[in-house]
Amino acid sequence: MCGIAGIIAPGSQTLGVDLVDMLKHLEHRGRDATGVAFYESREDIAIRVSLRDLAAEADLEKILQAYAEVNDPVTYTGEGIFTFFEAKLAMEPSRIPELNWAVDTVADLCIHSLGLRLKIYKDEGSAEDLERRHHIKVGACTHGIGHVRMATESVENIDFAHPFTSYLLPELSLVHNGQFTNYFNLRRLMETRGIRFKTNNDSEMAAHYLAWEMTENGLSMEQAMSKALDDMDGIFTIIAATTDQVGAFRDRLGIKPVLYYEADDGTVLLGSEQIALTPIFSDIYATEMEPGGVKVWSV
Amino acid sequence: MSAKPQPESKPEKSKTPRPKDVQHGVWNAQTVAEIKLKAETGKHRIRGCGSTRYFPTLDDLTILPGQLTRMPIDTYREDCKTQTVLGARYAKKPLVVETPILISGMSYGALSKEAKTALAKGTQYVGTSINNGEGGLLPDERDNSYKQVVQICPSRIGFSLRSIEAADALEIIVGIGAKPGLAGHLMGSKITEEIGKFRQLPPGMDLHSHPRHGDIFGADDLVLKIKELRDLTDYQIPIFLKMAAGRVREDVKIAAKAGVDGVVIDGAEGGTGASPVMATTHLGIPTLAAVVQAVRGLEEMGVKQEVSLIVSGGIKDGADVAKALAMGADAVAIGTGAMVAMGCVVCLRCHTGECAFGIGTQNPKQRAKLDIEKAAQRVGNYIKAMTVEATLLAKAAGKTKLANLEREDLRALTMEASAVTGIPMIGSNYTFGEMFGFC
Amino acid sequence: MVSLDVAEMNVREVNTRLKELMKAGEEVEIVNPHSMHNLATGIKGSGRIVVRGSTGFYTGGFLQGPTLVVEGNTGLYTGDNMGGGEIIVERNTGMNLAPSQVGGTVVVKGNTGSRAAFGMKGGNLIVCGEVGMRSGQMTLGGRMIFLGKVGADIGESMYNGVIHVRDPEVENRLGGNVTLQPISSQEEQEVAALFEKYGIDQDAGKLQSIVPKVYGRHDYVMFKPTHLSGRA
Repeated sequence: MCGIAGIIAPGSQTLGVDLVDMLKHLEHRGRDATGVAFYESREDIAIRVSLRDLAAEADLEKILQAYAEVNDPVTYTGEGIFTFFEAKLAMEPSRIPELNWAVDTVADLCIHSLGLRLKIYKDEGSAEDLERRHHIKVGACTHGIGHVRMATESVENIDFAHPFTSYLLPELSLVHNGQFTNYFNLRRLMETRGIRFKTNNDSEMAAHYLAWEMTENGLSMEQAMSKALDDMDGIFTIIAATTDQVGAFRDRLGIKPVLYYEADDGTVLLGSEQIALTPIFSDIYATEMEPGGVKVWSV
Repeated sequence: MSAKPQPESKPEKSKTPRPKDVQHGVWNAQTVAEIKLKAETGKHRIRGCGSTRYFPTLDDLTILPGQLTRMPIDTYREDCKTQTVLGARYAKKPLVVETPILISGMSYGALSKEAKTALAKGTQYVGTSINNGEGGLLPDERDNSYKQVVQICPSRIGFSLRSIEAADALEIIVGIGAKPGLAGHLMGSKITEEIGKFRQLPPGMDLHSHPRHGDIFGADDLVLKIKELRDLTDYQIPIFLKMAAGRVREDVKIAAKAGVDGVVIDGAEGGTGASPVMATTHLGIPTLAAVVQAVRGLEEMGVKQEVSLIVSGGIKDGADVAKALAMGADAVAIGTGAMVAMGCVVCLRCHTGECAFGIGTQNPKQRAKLDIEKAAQRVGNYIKAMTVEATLLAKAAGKTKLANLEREDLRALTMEASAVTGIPMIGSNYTFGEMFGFC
Repeated sequence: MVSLDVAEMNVREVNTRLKELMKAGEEVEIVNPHSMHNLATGIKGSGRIVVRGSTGFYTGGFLQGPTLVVEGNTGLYTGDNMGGGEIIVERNTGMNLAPSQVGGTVVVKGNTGSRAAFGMKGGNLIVCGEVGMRSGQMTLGGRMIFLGKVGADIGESMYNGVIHVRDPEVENRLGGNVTLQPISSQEEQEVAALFEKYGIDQDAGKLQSIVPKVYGRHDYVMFKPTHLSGRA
């Protein structure tokens, strides 16, 4: 149905390649879309946006210029139907949530990532397709999460691909395997709080949920995830990350799998299947996360 | 002179049977009987129970199960939570019940003491609440109920500060679904010495209650009345408002603005001890339509998450419970159903005071027929079975909490139900106008 | 011993080759399995397969005769619907071990995850390490031996079969419609024989048996009001 993976490796120079490798081993779980989120150590705010077509670029530039100085912009069309834009922004970091929503309000644009450390690449197709179309350039990273998608209830559309982010907490990224059975009720609840949704994908709701609990209610990631376990219904495993934490939680019936492995050197690997961990450590046995379990690692 | 014309010989009688004219039109046997009665008495007919006419109901909806995209939950071996919290908007001690099925207000007077006691005892088996109804708060009821809702009706029979102190929740009532816009009827035959003393009424005299509260003359007063009640209750217990399903959307908004913790909407299928037939047949809208309007009204005001919604009127099984919850209700209330569980066969004669089962009567001989303990167990069994039925459906749809049912889990089986609710049609997913839900 | 390097082969080719070899009763070693899924499924015959590494999902599924040894870890659903022969996993295996096993013997020297032996119908299943929650659910036969810590709801709604456990805390983790009782001397003998055959150094006498309720109806509590749980 979907495959998820995560890696924490603070000293790694190869995380950009390693994470994609892990996803290649999960391809059988879904080839509709693939996505990766990296947390780089860098100095500039980076933005990645998908555009319906080149015509939308003018709108995008107009919005960006109201908030930032745009440096090194690159626009390219993948082999799919979408156009991608990436750039470095010199701007006031506190205005990031506002800019995030300003871009997302435009129907033809979709923020993939916007933040000081986060960078997300996602596209239709497999991990190989992702590598080929996007020259994934990441420097030294501390951690990352990734996803392969088999579409269930919502459209096979790139903006519905994971990882999802939330304008409420832009450095949060989230991947999800499963299906919530009370997404619509939760969405209605969140909309009464003024939270705005871009897609009809239930995973977006999970991103906003965690972001809201961690910002508005000041919960820690672990507390927010425990609360999510109570409020969300269905079968699911989720891996979410911020600049300094990676967490995972699993539904109470323990139907969707997520495994983790903590190496002696501080590397932590997460994945839907044992096989996803083998490109990094070929001969380990990963621990199955407890049903109804929450686990958070600091980076 | 011409010959006198001879009478023609009579033709032979035809052997073909004559067509029978079956009356499908207005002037059927029922109409004829009603007219004759009116001609004789000059009065409108009053009868027990509630409407006997057809309404579109929740049975016209179906629930979508999980299969591949969503997974079902094991009916027998995995849990689905049913505990329900009502009235948490302002009340410090909301009403917490173990099942979303409450027992609605039926008066001591319309029902026998034994019936009221049995209903109250029944609530203990399943952990739910009972509402005392119009006739004052019977000590046997209060002493035996798990949770007690006290009704504030226009007649204020037996109501004083002590009633408020005895309550786990209050319910201001402005109307019931069986006879919206009218008020309580208790026929003289049921006002015995005992009832007369309890209600401060002369025995044997019909009671026709007044429909409006003597101290609430509009929404503006309601705001202040509720403030008064808040002071009296110290914000501890929930204050609900029960109304008949009429102009539901607007009425619900007013109730929400006035500051209630919850609204109870009683659809046209609701029952009663006695009511004019005209009222039960031609006033009000059915529960199916009322739920939609109530939910939309609360959502328009942005208070859907805070104001509890309880629906009643024709709730008979777990499917009704599940569908009502899916549409946005937080709980349901049963009246007629609970009586049937105790033995009632819906003979429609409650208004006469004659009840062979000792439920809707004050006749001591008939009352003796009701075994309180047995009746209480039957009520408990019925509510328990309905709760399990509702969880069975919820689990098939992939839910581990009854409250997680959503309107997107429903589809309409008929065009009528689809048009009434805004829920998409089976098959085509066609919707008439504004869809009720995302998909 | 035939050596098969499967690094460049697809699983269909591998299984076809294995079927031929097992028909002839040969001994095969498989190298570079690279966590291949569906390896050695549906193989009949009487030979021996040794996998030098780890495998993926459904390893040895529908096995009907040969002995399959995996020297590494295996993935989920190992021994799926197995009918005969042996599967021996030297290290650990994923969740949902041997669902609907009909016959033969599965031995896992390490740990497994949740829902092991779902719907087992016959044969033997031995796990030397831990098993996760809801193991032994709805079984219709077979013998399960769990030597390590067991998870919650073990043996849920078994209709037939028996589970032998060593975990002293298992009493608090039983599923519905099963009871815990001392191991019978007959069972002890049979288990001891299995331990001897597979080189497991354990005392069968220290095990307890979980057996299903076979009279009347299974009890299910479908409505659990919390206000009553405080009472009797």
